Amino acid sequence: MPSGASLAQLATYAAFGALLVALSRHPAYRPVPPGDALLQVSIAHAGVRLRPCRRLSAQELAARAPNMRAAFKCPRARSPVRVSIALDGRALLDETLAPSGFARDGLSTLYRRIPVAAGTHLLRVQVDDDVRAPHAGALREIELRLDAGQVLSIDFGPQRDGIAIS
Amino acid sequence: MLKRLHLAGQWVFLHVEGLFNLAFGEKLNPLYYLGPIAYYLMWVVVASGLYLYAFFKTGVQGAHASVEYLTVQQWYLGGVMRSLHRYGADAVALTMLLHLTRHWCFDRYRGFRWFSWVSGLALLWLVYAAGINGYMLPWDRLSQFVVVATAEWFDRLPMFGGELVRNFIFPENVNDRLFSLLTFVHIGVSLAVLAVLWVHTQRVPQAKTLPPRPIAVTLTIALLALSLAKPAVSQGEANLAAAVTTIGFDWFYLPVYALLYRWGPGEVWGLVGGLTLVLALLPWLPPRRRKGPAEGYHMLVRPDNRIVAVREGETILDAGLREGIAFPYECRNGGCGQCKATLAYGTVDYGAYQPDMLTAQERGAGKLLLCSATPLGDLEIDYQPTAVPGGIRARVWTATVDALDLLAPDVMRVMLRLEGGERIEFYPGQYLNVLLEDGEKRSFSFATAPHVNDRIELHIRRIPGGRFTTQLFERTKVGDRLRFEGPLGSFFLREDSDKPIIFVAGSTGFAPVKSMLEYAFHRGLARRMILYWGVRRPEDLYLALLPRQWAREHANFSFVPVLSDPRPEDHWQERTGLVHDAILADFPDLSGYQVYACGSVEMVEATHPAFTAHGLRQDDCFSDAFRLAARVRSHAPELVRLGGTA
Ligand code: HEM
Ligand code: FES
Repeated sequence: MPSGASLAQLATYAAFGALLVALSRHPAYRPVPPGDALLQVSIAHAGVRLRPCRRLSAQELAARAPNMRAAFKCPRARSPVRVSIALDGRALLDETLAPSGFARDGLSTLYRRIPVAAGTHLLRVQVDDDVRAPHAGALREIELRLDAGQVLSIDFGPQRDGIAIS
Repeated sequence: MLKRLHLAGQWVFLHVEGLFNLAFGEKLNPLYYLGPIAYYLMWVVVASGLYLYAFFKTGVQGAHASVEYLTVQQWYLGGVMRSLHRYGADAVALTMLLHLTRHWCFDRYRGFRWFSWVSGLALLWLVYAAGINGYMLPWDRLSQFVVVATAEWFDRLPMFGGELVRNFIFPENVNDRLFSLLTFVHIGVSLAVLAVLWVHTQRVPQAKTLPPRPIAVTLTIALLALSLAKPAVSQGEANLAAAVTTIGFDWFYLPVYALLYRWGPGEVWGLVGGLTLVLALLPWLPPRRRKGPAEGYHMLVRPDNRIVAVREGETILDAGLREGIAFPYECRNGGCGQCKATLAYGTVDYGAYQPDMLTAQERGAGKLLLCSATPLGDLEIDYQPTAVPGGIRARVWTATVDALDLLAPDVMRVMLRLEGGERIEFYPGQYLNVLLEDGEKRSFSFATAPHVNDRIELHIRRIPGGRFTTQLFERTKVGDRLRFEGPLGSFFLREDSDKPIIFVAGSTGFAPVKSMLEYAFHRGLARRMILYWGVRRPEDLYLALLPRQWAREHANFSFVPVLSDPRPEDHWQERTGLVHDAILADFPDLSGYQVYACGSVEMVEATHPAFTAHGLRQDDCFSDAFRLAARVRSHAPELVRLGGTA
């Protein structure tokens, strides 16, 4: 017959184990609401240069130190990139992304995770990478079926033929 | 407010600990060993992790499959190891958080403890980094969630520029190199935890880094049972094309991740960063409850007869252990009563402890718990030693008087020979207690070095009106028998330093110095050693020829006699004045020295503050004087000496 104290020890260790088991898996966590699909928008794109490169005149070149006589001068600043996404005509996202870096010559980046209800949707994605010519950028509009738990990623880049939806 | 939180926390801890005491007994109560348990579990985690690593394939294809193999096919070993790794890590987090909370509640994080606190905070971060990183490796749905969420979270930091997450959401970017990196980081951070752990426990005197064996064994069995009953399993292979919708979640490691999609990464950084900052500053934030002067107090510890400094807020136990006093202790948390001792003088804050371990009655009778009490003034502590330094046990011996020589008008050299040809082992600087018929004791230092152990030499100064010394000087003859106990005391020559030593002897304080010096010469110690022997008149230098001869024979030794009271007829040509003034004149900066002071209490009391004011480190000051004179209840004058004078 075990003593009361050893039973109490056993109970304590059992409680300790139960606590470890319980909190190491319960309660479950739901990063995406049940029944939803997930839109993952991730864009890292450099907008066009705001001013084109300019050939330096002979005088300008002569005024420079011999080792600095590059023929072109290229202003580095790039255009912000505007991304707008609409689902069934309702705007999910409309953002203008400033280029990174001190000289504003880096990538414009965006990441959003947007849970959306499963079902058939009309998705419209527009990316403009030149502020001087609004609405001249890329546009894609597709109808698609999203299953619950599906991930749809949206990217943009010349190497991906413009707007990539996968 | 904070104080009230502290007190409420203490109340909860003490009550739960009290309940645990009923089940586990005071000595094996796991709650008293939270730090050591977390430490032990860390080893369990590292060991099981090494096993997993041997089978783990660091690649997109292999990661999940290799972990599945361990879990399913090799459930009896690999699966158990995996579960041990998982539950062990969870238990580390749990015990670590309890450990942190307990130190906070008991206000043990301020003052000198800031070091443990701040290094603990580093541990907190590292443990979490390792744990979260670990969940990325099996490449199941939880891994997918943790990897992506971590990337999203870190992308908020300017240095990543919002591009980090792209490496983890497009399947073509997730490659084998990534797994090598994650594994490398996981192992590296875990090893860093072990390294910082070592640092973390450096400042705690004689920190226990492992729990008592029965606790370790039971804990291991419990984790094993858990691993067999509820093995840790994966949650389906990661698939970047499918969203992670519902996952089993480790709330020990990942609660912050649950906030991420509710608050956003910036806010979560704010929370974590702010919390870290507040925790890091906690040791210096008000309300600062100073219990005394910043420089702390001093306590006299008996039977060691040592004066030890106690830092502000330090427990008596820690101060004693730091100085190498063999205080008995077990739980260090006021729960076992092992460290009970007597407060012979002074006032303390008794601290928080289990009421059963120190009853009001005992407290009334002057008892305290060393591990819980902090001084409110200078103290005198009496404790019952259970261990002696170096493991030499004290016992009672019988000896006969072999020779009696009057070295000076009031100093007698007594040579004792142990009966039955026995030999005694002791450390140079230790002392013995002569046992008188009525049960009283008189303490004298060994004047011979330990390698001369067939006879014992004592230098005894006559105390006017003293019972024992009067008898010794007037009636004791060669051949008389005598009983004594010894060896005693933790004042002895420390060989763990290379600093030059300054010996300060007052009168018959020369006896322990002689023992230490003869030992040092015998051992061939190369450290520089200087002896200042302070007395009143030349005839008090009762064995002056001996140190003068040493000085001639040993290049690393010099001898400076100092007379406080020379008369013209003495024709004294050497140093005069107070011995500590002479030392300070010769050594204005004592920071690079050790000082061994042996002599009257008055002498040690005068020298100690002067020396510390000149840079002598507390750890480098050793003394055999044994009372804080001015504040002490009066003693029989003979008691108040130790190889020295009254
Ligand atoms: C893996 C995590 C940790 C382990 C294994 C660990 C282990 C230990 C051990 C063995 C000790 C010495 C004995 C004791 O007082 O329990 C100790 C002391 C201490 N720990 Fe930790 N610790 C960890 C984390 C932390 C954290 C996160 C904090 C707080 C931020 C912390 C604060 C302290 C303090 C203040 C002490 C000094 C106690 C004193 O001087 O009285 N520790 N720790
Ligand atoms: S060591 Fe256990 S009560 Fe002090």
